[in-house]
Amino acid sequence: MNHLNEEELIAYFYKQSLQPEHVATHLRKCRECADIYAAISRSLTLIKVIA
Amino acid sequence: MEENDHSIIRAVLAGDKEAYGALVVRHSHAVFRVAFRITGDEADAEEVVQEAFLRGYQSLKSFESRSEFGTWIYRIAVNCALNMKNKRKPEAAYQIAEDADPTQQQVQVADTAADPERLLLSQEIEALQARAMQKLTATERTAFVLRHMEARTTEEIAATLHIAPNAAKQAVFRAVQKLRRGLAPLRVNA
Repeated sequence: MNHLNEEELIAYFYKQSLQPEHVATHLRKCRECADIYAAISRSLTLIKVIA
Repeated sequence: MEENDHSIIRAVLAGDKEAYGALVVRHSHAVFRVAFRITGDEADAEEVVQEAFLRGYQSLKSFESRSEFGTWIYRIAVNCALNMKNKRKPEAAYQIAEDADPTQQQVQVADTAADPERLLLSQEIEALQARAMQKLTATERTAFVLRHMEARTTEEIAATLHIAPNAAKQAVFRAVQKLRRGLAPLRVNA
């Protein structure tokens, strides 16, 4: 199985993925990528919106 | 009935210079917001607002009526803010932080068990975030602000910064990578 790279996961987080269904399906099946995506989501959610 | 932007622009171009004030009032909030997010400084953001509307006024003849004035002035403001960030030298604190041992950047948080939300609002965390933002280049910071805080698409970011979509995408990606590294001391708590 080809894992998703960080760039693809960041694009997916921002709803800018060119293949969102493919990414979603992969995240459901692959624990490793799902963990990385969860870490990216946590980091980006932590960044507070200024003002 | 409230005049639309295009009719105000026609009035300004016909000689009614005062009418431009209505456009300033209508769009200055959005312009200030993005300027502040990019510069991180209220005074700088005010300066960007003034410069953007001045530039807008001076080049109003070149404004194409098929576009939206709000989008046009927003893009001018982003570029003014980007120029300002490029001109500013990094702050001394940032220079020190660059050479510092990242393992020393541990967040010291008081007892937060009783109120976990305070953890996110603590000054220490805000400082860590601000320091991480300062490590971005002006283009990375602007691209990140447009994506993360202004919810702009890759194409909009590219058009605003006058760069290729792939370059915009890469700028956001690099920004996220740097910010994640900067926020690494929080991960044990995240």
